[in-house]
Formats: sequence, structure tokens, C-alpha cells
Amino acid sequence: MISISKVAYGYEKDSIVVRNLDFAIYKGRIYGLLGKNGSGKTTLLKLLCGEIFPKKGKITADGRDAAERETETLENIFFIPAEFGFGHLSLDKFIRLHSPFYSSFETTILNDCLEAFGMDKNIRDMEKLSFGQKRKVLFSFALAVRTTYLLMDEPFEGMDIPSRDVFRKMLIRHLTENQTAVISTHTVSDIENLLSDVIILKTDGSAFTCSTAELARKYAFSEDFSTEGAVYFEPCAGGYRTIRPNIYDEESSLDLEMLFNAVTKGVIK
Amino acid sequence: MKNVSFKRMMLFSRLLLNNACAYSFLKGAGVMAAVILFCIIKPILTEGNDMQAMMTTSEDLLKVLFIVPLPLFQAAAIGISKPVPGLMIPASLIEKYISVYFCAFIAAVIGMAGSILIGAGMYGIAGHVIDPAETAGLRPLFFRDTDGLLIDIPLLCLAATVFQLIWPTLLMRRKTGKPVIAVIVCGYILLIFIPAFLMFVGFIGKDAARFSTAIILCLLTILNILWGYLLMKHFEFDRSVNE
Repeated sequence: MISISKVAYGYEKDSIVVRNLDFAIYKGRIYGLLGKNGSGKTTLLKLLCGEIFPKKGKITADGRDAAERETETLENIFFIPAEFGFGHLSLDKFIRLHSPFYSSFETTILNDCLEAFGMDKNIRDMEKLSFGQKRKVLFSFALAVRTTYLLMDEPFEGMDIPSRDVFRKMLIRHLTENQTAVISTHTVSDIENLLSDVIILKTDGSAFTCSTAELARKYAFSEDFSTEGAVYFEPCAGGYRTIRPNIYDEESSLDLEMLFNAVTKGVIK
Repeated sequence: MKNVSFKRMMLFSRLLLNNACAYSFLKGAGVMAAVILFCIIKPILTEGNDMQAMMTTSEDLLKVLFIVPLPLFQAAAIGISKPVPGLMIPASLIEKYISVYFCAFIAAVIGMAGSILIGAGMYGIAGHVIDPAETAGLRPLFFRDTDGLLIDIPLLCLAATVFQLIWPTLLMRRKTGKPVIAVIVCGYILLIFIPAFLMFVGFIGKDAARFSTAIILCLLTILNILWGYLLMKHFEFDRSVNE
């Protein structure tokens, strides 16, 4: 479990990006990290993996302070950044140089992912790959190292539509119950059916966290002709998209976009 | 998990060396050979007909070349971002720190061997052209005047380790303040020149001054290595400078 307690962080002395974050990330779950531009999604991911340190509060991964960057912690968290380069090396060399640091690395997972993405394993210069292809390779590698926590910042950026589907399939296929994925994204439709939990960062630096099961129990998402009883609604072609308290135990599919809007506008707290 | 594992250290060193030579040892060797050639050919073309002066200039240029790898490896250890940052690679800080020194040592040894080989070849040819009579008596670079090595080698080690301290010290200057850094720098310089001063006023002889300078340089180098680790640790773990 990653425990985030009373964490605050700002890049400048007087500007706070995230404040008073207080929640936990449990094993065996897939978290969607949502937020407007500049709300601190990347900052939170960097804090979780220990790349930057909280100005206030503490983040522990399995009881170890993430900021201490102990070898065990670093071996258990893999972060896929939004922007990166590989350098002019072959895939084979990249694997030979990096995989020995991760004791649980499995070549079969890497091969399976690359095959599913339709990528050739014989890549001679990784820097010559397109950005989407680089993402596929790094995602495959990240799944293959089998760290307990897999943090991904905008993993769908640059990926074509079929690859996004493969991404979801591979994540479901290879993520075990002892692993956790945190996916930060702007395009909620890509992860809507994948998530077990949602973290929404608000513009004031605080966060809304809830499991999708809990959300489904509390709220009913639907399209209606009236807004009566709705805690939040938006007009659409057929009337209104609404979020209502789920007093009749209705089954409805989670509308992440609506939830996001309701949370960021302060309607759902 | 062990805090210091030889295997992880070697793995990190391999990563650093690969990163430093752009993932191709041939490319790295080529660049090193080109720089060594420049350091040898430049004095041949500019120092007139004095073979000893040419070789001394070549040696001085090459000595500077041996200092460069340490801060470069240090920067690479912190800044590798392809795609996992160096400090986020699963290895302890002490392993990364030792790897930096190990890689710098390997680079210096390879550079020195290359310099001696290339230097012997180039100065052999240059000697035949400039002064055929003196060529037979020439020794390889760095081994003509072994007396000078007593000060040169510790001085090089000190210079290399001082370079390594510059970056973390700059990051820390806001906390420590400029006067503290100025006092430390003055203390360093005074310590190094104490034996020379004592020799100048007649308290000790020339040999004693050279030996004491060499010992002071070695002690300062050890101090720098330990201090470098503390600064790197502080740089990594100090929440006020980490951004």
C-alpha cells in the first residue's frame, strides 16, 4: 500500500501544487488519476515514486518512506513519464542494461506485449521510433519488470486507437492481484472501463478519491428529460446527462467525464 | 536487501559507461582517441622544435583530460533520463557513488594507456623528423620525469574530486551562505601551500616539502571523496533543494 498522509508540494515557495493530500493506494487495483492541466497529476506521480519529495507530510510505499529511495522501494515502483527518450541504443541492449536491476523481470511478458502491439523485437535504434512506439516499448518493459506499483503519466499520448485497446488488454492480462497501476490521463474514455478507483485532483490542490464500486453504489448516471433530483446535470442532445443519488439501487455505468466535471465544480465533494 | 552489492555496483557502472559513450564503446573509443590525438598533435604543431617542451605540453593537456570524466559520470549518475533517471535506478546511493569513481578510474586508465601508446607512436614519428639524434632517448609520455609524478598524481586526484564537489556545493550555497564556501576554499588553498611556505622560510627542505604537499593532497582527496558522498546524499535527500 502507498500511504499519502497530509502531503503538500509546490515548486516555488509561495505556490502550492498539491495540498493536504491524504489517501491510500491499495494493492491489486487500477487507479485513474484525473485533473485539469496544472492540477498536479505529474507532480503527484513523481511524489509517489520518490522522484521529488513532499514539502509537508509523508508518502510511504509498503511502510518505507518513498523519499528515502531505498533500493527495495525503487525496485517496487516503476514510473512511465509523459516525455522521455531512449538514446541511440537497441532494444536488446536497453533490456540487458536495465532489466538486471529488477529481480522479477520476465522476458515472456515483454515479448507477449511487443507481439500484441505488433512491434518487432529487433529494434536497432530506439531513438528512431515514433513517440507512440516508444511508449509501447516502455509500457511493455514496465509490465515485464513486474513492480508492485506501476505509475503511468499520459500513457495513451501518441498511441493509435488499436494500440490503446491492446494497452488495456495487456494491462488486464499481466497485472497481477499484488500489483497496482496508477494511470494519469486527460482522455477518460480510454480508461473508463478499466478502473477500480478514481483520484481527481482539484484546482485548489486537494484530491477526491473513491472506488468505482462505491461511486456506483452512491450515484446513478443516466440521460433524462428532467433534472429533478439530480445533484449534477449537463444538457445533451436527448435532454440531460444527470448524476442522481442512487436511492433505488439502480445499476448504471460510470460516466467519468460527468463525475470529473461534478467534482471539479465542487458539486460532489 | 544489502545496502552495498558488488553486482548492482557493476551493473550501474556498466549503465554509466554505456551512457557516457552513447551506448557504443567504439564511438566512445573513437572520441577519446580523437581528443588524445589533438592533445598530442597540437603541441607538435605549435611548440617549435623542442621535443621536451612538446611532450610536457601534451602531458599537461592530457592530465586535464583525465579530470573531466569524474564530474561527467557524476552528472550522468544523477541525470540519466533515458528513460529511468539515474537516481531512480534500483541501487543504493553508495553503490551509485562508488560506480561513479569506478567508471572515472576505468576511463582514466584507458585514456592513460591510449595516451602512452598514441604518444609514443606520434612522438616517435615527430622525433625522426625534428631531431633524429634525440629520438632514441625519448621515453613514453608521463614516464620521462617520474619525480614530478609524486605531486602530479595526487594533484590530479584532488582536482578531479574538487570538480565533483562544485555542483552540489552550488546547489547548497543558499543554505550554507557564500562566506562559508569562501572560508572553505581559502582553507584548502592555505593547507596546500603550507609546506611550500615552510620551505620558503627555511623550516623544511625541498624533499620534505614535496612529500608533505603530496600527503596533504592525498588527505584532501580522501576528505573530498567522503564530503562528496555526504553532499550527494544531502543533495538527494534535502527537501529544500530537491525540486
